[in-house]
Amino acid sequence: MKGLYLYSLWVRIWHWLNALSCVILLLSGMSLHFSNRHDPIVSFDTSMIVHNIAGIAMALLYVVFLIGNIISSNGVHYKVKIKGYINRLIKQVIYYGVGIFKGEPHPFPATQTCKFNPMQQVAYVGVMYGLVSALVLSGVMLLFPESIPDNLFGAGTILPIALAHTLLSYFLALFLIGHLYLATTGHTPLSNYKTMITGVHLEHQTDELEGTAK
Amino acid sequence: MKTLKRQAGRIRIFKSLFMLAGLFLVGTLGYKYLYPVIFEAYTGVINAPLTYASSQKLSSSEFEALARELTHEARYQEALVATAVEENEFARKLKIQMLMNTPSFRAKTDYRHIDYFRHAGIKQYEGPKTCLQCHEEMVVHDYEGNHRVVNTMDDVLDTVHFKFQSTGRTFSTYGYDGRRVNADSAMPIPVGKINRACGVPGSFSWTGWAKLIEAKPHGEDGEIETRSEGCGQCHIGGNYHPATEEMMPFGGIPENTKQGIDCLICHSDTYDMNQRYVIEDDHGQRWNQDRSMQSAMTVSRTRNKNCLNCHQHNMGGDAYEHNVAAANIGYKNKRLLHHGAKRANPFAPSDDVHAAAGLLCTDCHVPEGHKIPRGIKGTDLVANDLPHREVACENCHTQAPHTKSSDRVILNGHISRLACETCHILKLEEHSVVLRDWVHPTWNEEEGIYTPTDIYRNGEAGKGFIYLWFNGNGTFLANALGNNPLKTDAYNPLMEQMVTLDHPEIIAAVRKAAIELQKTYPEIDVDQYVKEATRPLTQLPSDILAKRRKTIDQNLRSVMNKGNSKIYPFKLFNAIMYEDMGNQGPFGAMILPFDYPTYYETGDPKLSVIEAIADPIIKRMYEMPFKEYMMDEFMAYFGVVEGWDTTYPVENGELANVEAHWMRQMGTLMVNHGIQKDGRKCEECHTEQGIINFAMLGYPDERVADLQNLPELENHTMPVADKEVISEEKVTKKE
Amino acid sequence: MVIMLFGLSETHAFEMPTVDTATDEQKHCLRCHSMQTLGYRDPVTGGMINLHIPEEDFKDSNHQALSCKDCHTAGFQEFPHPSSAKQQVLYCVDCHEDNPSFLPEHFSEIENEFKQSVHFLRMPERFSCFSCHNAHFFKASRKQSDPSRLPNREMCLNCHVETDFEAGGMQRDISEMVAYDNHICLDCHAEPTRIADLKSGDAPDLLASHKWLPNTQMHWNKVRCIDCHLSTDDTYMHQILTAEQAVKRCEECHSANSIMITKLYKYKMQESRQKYGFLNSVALNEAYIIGMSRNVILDQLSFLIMGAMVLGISAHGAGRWISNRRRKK
Repeated sequence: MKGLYLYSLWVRIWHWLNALSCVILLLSGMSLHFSNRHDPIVSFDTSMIVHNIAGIAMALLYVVFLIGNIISSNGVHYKVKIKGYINRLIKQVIYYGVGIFKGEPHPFPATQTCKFNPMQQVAYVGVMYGLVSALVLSGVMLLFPESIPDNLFGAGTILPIALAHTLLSYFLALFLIGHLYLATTGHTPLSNYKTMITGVHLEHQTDELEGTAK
Repeated sequence: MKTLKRQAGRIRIFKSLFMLAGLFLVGTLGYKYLYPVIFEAYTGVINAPLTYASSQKLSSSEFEALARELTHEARYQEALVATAVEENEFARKLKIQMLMNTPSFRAKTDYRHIDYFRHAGIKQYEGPKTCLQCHEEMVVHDYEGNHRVVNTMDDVLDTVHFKFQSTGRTFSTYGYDGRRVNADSAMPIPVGKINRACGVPGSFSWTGWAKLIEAKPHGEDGEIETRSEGCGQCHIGGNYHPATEEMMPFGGIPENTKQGIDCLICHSDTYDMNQRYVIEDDHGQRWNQDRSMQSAMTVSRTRNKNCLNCHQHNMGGDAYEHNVAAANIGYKNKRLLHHGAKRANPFAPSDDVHAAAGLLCTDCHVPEGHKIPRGIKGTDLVANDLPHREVACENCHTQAPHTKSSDRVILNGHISRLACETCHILKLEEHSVVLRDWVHPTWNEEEGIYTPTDIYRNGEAGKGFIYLWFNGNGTFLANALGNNPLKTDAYNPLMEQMVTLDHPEIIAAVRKAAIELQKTYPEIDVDQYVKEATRPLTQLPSDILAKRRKTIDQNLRSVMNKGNSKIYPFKLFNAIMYEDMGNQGPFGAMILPFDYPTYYETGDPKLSVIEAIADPIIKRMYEMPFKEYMMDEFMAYFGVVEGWDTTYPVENGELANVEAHWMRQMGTLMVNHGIQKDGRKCEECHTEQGIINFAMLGYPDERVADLQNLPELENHTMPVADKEVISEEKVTKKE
Repeated sequence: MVIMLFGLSETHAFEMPTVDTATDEQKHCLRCHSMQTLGYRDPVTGGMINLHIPEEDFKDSNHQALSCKDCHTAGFQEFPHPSSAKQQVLYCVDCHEDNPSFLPEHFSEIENEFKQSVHFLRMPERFSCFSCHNAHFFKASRKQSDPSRLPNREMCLNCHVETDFEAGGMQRDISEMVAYDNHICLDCHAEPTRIADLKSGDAPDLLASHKWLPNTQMHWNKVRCIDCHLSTDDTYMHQILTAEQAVKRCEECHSANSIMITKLYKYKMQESRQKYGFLNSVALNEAYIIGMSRNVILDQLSFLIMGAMVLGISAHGAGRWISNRRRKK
């Protein structure tokens, strides 16, 4: 088993802070969305404050993420090589669909320059640059409604934005569930979680070697 | 092997169960038998079986004879009232006879308990034991219209009448630290008569519960007359001490104490106040009661005379001419009467419109079981059984009580700013005490004892009582809180009205009294005396004075601004007493109690203080457990942040760090009885010499000028209670 | 100070003299009439006759600049006021019809509408303007723009004035206005004694009769009675309908994507920012509209997808676990 130091300290701290605010936002958002005045699990007012504070935290974290990706080497992982990407993606999907049951090795083991597999790449790039940015943006718009126009094709603007915010948050929830699950596909179900704490990724080859040794 | 193990396990279980049961038994027995002994040893209270000479067993023939006599007397008295209009003496006599034989009249007037006792074979009244035979449970009706069945004894034990204190959460009293006393966030301390701020908590009610005094009305060498004195004369707990157990964090009332409760003083139509005197038995001194069969057989609904057996003392006062109890002071060891009165606003037909209208005390103070409401307002730190229950004029009179006078509209207008009492209490009795000197007693020739000297008594507006803003709250030392609706800082009674007596008449009277006192106490400096008595703040050094001002602004101003203040009349009261200077704050120091016999007999107040605070429970107050349990909290409310200083104020048999002082501000007592039908006239207030000092009440100059010069008053005729106005309006309506 | 009396367009606006403090004469009368409990019980009905004029409200009312004697002409300078003076009967239109600047045409319209209202139709002798409007603190709480010029905006303008929609223009507290208007109705309708005085039988239980309205109390705090209890073609808001005729028009306010919601949201956001300061308001804003983005189909769909996702993952995980065990064996 050999270790690969993949996640620098700031990335790990950022990751967990981001994860925390994500979870808080989802929970408090749910509490707001499905609020029930008569029988609240968390009172509307409390959820509101929590949601706002966590939302601002997430927006700030997002800025940290953007800047971090520019000035550190972490940004490299978010640059997708277009050439042959589709094939690689198919390969990864096949692995998750078939190979993983057979105990086959990960087709794209993480390396210093490319820690994400093709599926991770598309997911993370999509989520971090697309989904989260849109969520953060819509959240900020709802916090500063005077920054947006009143009128969109004769209808109000708050509702579409609020709807979008809600919709995007569904996707984020979906991503989160998938993310949590796929994180168990490491060397052992918990090893990837440990990696995100220690920063050291355990190479999957070792697993393979052990498998063959048997 | 296995069975052995199982057996061992079983044995272990049995053993632990046995141990638990044993512990429980020991605990219960300990609490039941050991705790009271320890408690009594610690607090010095006495509990013993109580006997009363008046509790005599009657023979059947005696019972019937008494029954006949009582019934006849009751019918006769009732018939006298019913025939009062008959002018012809003879005709009246016949009518009385007829009435007394009329079945419906008899059913109305007869004492029902005579028959009950006859059937139950009750020939002797033995206190609560006898009552509870039938009344073990009672139905309590509350204000919401619900009713519940409760244990009668428990209901009585849980009243202020019995325990003199409550730890309730809804006092209208605020500490000088700005906290409401026993608010939800605070540690509740027992508050009430049993431990009010007048004297070390508990002091007078313990040290002066039941005392025999040796009076010498016939001179120094004359015959000694034994007299009775003490708080216990009015209160229903009939033991050697007040209900001490109830104010502790745990522990119950001993059976002996329960059996000492005097049911009949409230429930008997013929309770004999002459039976109320101090007796001495093997265990100590306590109050005698009327436990005669006569009293028991005349049990009836509680009437005003029952309440007034005790409460007239606090209203009209002992010297009030219609105080019935004060006219029946005992078959022996006659009770000492107090000549000055605390409030001096009597409740009697001759001096109160409601009493004259035949209203019962309980018409306004509607009880819930044995709990009796005293309203939600109050300046004094007096316990309250039903602190949520409003007792107020408006409950009956509505917001527009003036209906007949041609001035009714403007009179009703005043109600948003004036309490009814402000206009409808015109005066208090003359013997209303404003300034009392406990430090320089005077020999009372007539009674043959030394009594505190009343420096100033007056029942007039502006002298005996003054007008203050009041929002229902008071301070820990009975100062009315409230503010002008303008809510400015201009109104500051704790720096002005409550610490200043500047009426020239008062100054002159106090000077005269001081000169008189100087004859007995040559050390008195008259000028100094007058200054301190009429301006008590002059006793404070400037740094404490500054602290006081700051405390008011920071802690009390917000309380003063609460709610809707109205102008109320407040009886003023101040006294000079000995104080424990180790426990002093900007609003006063802890007052020390006097031992009544020593005080009355020797006229030596200092010796009397030493004697009083030697009482075990006062000593306990100066120890750690009570400091922690309540005294630190008490001092915090008192405005002393440093907590309770447990240095006992006696050293080598002498008072140490004890000084005589006037309380730093006068107490302001609510007066609500002695209501007159005809209230004050406009011009009694709305002139420059009016009885209300508008400037002192925080009105700006311009408004004061307005209030003192009403153009309407120039051609204002006396209001007419005219039918004309009403009928005229009827006509208008029809038109 | 410009006072808009039922202010229409700018041409109808007129200027009143500036009144910073009450005139001496007002002051003179208010010495007594500002007493909160000034009044008496009517010897005929036993009911309260309230003679209190709330000083603050009067000084803020449309009639603030009037001198008391302008209306109360008969002998009130005497004290106690002679009963002859009290016989004077006042009527709004008396003043308002003579002076063109007092909007006479509107008052006649209002009078017409009022005469069609349930109150007047049922008890013409018991109802006058003053039954509902106390002239001493009457304040036109709204500025109603010409409805024909501003289609779809009446709803907003029931409570708002035009300037409210300009940046930073919101000056008034809507719930205060709602309370003011509803107080007019509830003064009688929530007072059993007054209802009893007007008609025999018990007063209807308002809560029971509005049971169909969800969150009843909250609606009463936020919506005016007349918003529902008026005839739809009622321009001057005085043709009060019977309970049966009142329309239950939920969707008028609750159409989710109306401009009104956006405006309301923005307004509340700015209001809270004024209240809490910039930083705090971001965290403590009061602008969430409960369930605003709720959409049943969307919610159900999201649950469906979420469920499918969880199911899929479970299946995948189970597969991994089984295959792993099999391989290990």
